[in-house]
Amino acid sequence: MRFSVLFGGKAGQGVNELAKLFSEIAGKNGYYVFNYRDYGSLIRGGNSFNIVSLSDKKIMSHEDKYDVVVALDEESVEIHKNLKKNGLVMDEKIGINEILEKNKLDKKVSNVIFLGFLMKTLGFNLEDLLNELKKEFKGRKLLEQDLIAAKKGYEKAEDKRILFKVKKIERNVFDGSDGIVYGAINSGLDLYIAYPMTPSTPVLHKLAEKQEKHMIFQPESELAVVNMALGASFAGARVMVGTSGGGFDLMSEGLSMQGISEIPLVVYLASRPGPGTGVPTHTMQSDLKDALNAGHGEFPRIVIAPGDPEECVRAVNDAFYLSQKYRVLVIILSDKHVAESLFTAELPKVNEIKIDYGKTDKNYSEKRCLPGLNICKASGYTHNEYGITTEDGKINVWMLDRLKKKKLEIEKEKLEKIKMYGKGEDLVIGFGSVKGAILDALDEVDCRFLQVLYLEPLDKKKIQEEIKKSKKIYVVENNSTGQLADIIEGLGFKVERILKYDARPFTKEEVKNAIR
Amino acid sequence: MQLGKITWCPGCPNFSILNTVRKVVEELKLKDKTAIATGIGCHGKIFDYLDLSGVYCLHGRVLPVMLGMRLGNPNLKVIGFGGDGDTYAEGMDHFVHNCRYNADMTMIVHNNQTFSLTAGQPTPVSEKVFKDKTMLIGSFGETINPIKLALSLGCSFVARVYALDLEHMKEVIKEAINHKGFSFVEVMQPCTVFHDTREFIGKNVYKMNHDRKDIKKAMEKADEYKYDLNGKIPVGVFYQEKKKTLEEQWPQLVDLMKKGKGWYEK
Repeated sequence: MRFSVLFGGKAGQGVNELAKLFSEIAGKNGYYVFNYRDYGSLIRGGNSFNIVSLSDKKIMSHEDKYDVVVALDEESVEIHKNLKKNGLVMDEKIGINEILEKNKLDKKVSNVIFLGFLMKTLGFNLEDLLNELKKEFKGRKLLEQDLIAAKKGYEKAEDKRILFKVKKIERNVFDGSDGIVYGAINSGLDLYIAYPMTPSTPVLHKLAEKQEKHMIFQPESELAVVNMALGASFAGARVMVGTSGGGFDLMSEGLSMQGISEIPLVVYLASRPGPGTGVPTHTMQSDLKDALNAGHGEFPRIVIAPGDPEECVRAVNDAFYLSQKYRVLVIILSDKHVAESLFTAELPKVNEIKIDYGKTDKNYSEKRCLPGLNICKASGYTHNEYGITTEDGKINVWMLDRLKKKKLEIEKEKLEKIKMYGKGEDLVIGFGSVKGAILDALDEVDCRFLQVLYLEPLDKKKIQEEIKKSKKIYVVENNSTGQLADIIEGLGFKVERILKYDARPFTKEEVKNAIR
Repeated sequence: MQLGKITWCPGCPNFSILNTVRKVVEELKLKDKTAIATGIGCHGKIFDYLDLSGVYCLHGRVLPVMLGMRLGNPNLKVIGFGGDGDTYAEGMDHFVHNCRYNADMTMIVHNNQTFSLTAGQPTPVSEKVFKDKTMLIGSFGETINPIKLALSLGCSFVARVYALDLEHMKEVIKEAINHKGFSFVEVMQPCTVFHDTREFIGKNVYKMNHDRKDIKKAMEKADEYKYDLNGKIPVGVFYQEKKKTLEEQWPQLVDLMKKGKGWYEK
């Protein structure tokens, strides 16, 4: 069963905040939640909306038909007409102005009146709403007014109990950014360096808020970010940087520098539609090949693509472990849809990462060394085992052979590189954020889903085995060319490409219709 | 530790800088607690000749790597070596911002007023109409005065030395390293092949002796030399100011400095 509420309004009216409060309260009442956020690149005005879907079992995607539309402005009524049968529209005619005037409330709290009205209509308790407001809006000047607004909105509505009932078990909601943050802190993050760029910025903000044992730093550019990260990691800090496509482009010289200097580096790449500035606040998976190839020269790397908050936690944990152990570049490839959508989730425990620095005279070619412990030289030039520059062809071969060997060693690591779901003769393949819509579609279609978690190293053997067992092969991707499909076809198979590139994520209906 | 074989041209003033830095390292006992960062250009080769930890950076990125080192372990002494192309062209944004960040580290710029390792192109500090048989491209636009720029950005230690006055260079570099905050030392280092100003600088260089806290005087002194072949060249410390370092503003780093530990030991 699914029940969907669309919250629409102008940027600045608090649409996302309302959707988040609603998601939290629904979760506490036992509902599984998915909250999709759609907003423009502006701070005031325009039309932003969230679609919150509730269910009695796990869901990971949104619907484009709504049981209720909560319209904070009149435009939202016009735009979002896709109501289900017997669907409700709540706009200012529910009595917003009357309540504001009567109770001498600031106009800014009118959105909370809507929420009060909605909660009563659906049959939620007023207490839950007030508690959530006290928690989320703690310290806010207008909190007292918010609480009055919630009560008055609640009183104004009729309890229609149109929402189906579920067992009351408390469930939490997190977005992918929460997963990255939780994973990083619990993997021993020391330093997060980033220049603001949607949709990686929530991680910067959340890590800034939680600063205590770690620190964050925002320098002048992504060029500074990546080079600072190399300096800090060289000095012994556990470092992560975050960015999106454009910033990642600037960082690519640093990725190449990582390759030759072998200084551990973790990059969180939350991608968005390109090329160029693209549609900055929306979503696409068009940077897969970039993540796999950015940076000149030949050097090993690891690319992990989590598809939900739990996988974000594990991806960061793996990333720190692998980057430190192999002194290698690890890219966590996410996108706006994972980073900014709320999922019902429990964030898993992570493994502790221990690093053996030890003493070595042979710098980074032998093991991780540290300035202060040894004389330790890391270089961007081709260098010998002491880190001294050389133009000797034999040493160039020795160095590149070592890097190739490292790649083979990484391939032998025991890692969950792919995940299989569902039953059926047909096979859907995808990575990252398409996971949610595919899994939800699988409830209604007989089909297996192969989720590629590690794009590099790719588990070719298992992927080939699964493909050989299957009748039809689909690759579902949020891009215009089929970047994963190209990789799969490179393994020697023909696939059908299911592509979406309107800068919006797949819904389960779209996946279902394409693979049926 | 086996070091690199020196490949600078015979008579290059970079030899003087190398020898001076070696002496400074010895006199200040820096070897075990120091990390260096070097850029790309003739100056950068110093990386292979110093028995010190460090990173041989990409072109222009000495300063962000240095800043990263400071945040990565605030108990390391961090010394950077950059060229004028490296620092004032490719890496100018980092120079501007690091002047204002005031992290506790020392940036030494080997200024030979030309890109030498790529065989003689102009840099932002080449004099105008810098064009002759060896200089095909020619210099256009205004010449940057990095001393004035650093002063205007609030850099807390600004100095210039001449590579062929070894004793003075050593004393100023020592002061720069001991200064708490961002120290910028420009070393005038004539290129014997592409920009040989040894005679001019040797004749016109003089040591300053004014109140270092006087920013107005510092600006006046900075204005005296416009990186061309006219006038006198003041060397010494233009300006020094005691102010809060970047590290002192982050409790996490203050804590590490108090304990004398890096993040990796926490």
